Amino acid sequence: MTRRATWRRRISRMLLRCLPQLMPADKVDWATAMTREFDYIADDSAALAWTCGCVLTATKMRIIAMVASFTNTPHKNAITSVAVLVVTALAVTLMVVAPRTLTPAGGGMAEGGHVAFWLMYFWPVIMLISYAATTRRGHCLPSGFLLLSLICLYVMQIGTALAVGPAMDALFHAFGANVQAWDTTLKLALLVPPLLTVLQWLALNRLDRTLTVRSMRNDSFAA
Amino acid sequence: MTRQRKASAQTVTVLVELANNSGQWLHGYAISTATGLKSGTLYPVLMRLKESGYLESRWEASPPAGRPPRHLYRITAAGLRYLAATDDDQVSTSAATR
Repeated sequence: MTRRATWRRRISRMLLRCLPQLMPADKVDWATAMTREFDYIADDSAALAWTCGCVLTATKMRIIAMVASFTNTPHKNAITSVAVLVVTALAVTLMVVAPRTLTPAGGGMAEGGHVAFWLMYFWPVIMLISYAATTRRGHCLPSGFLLLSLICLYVMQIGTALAVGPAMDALFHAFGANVQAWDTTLKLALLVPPLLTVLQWLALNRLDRTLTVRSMRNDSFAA
Repeated sequence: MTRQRKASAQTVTVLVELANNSGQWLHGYAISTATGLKSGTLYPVLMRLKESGYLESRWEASPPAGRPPRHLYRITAAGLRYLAATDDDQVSTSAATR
């Protein structure tokens, strides 16, 4: 076997390992079927071509499943879900930004900054508990429980952000007074919400997928 | 009223190949080499046919030593009926393109 051929097979194996993750949960068997065929293909170029086709198929199936999940979800729920995720991200950004703006020129942390600072540590824990509590029955995004818990969580967080007293004034003051601080803060404010939204979305989908696979396994064992 | 969707040329090609080996179990790569369809085209077709009940599948019972069992496919009676109901033009076109 030549070195070139070996590389092709290595790349193929690497891609095939991603296949079960890429394929929607209800079609994981098909990912296994495609992967098994690979071991019977002697020619490395043909094996790589086969793998690329399999990845293409899995991607297509994933997109179809995503579109179907959106169209099957009532529009009201879907829009609210997205809105909640965005508000969540914005609220967290606010909490990240607030302590920075509350920092006095001489160093240390102003009153109120401590509250926001410590709550930031609790945020992932609250988020995880919230996800776990609201998604145990299966699909999470259409779940009213999830929306309710996220809304409660972020009413609490926005309330906290407002409760830190002069946070807002300090924020605008900092923006106007210090260009360097404005640049950094603006970058944070612009980058963090989309990033958090995407991360939350991925976490939800991942959890949804895990729960669906587990539920399917339980059903097959019961049968 | 729902109207049955016209089968694609690739779908007909796969069905013809399975019908030619009616009663035999074929694996994916064998269908791919026989029909000339790449895996990216073949598997979505197989998935659709399986969901429609036009083919059945099972895992290989006794694979070669040291090799994993493969997924095998066979046309069903419904698949044969569907193929019989398909336009002759489509079947001959798919046969000609192979």
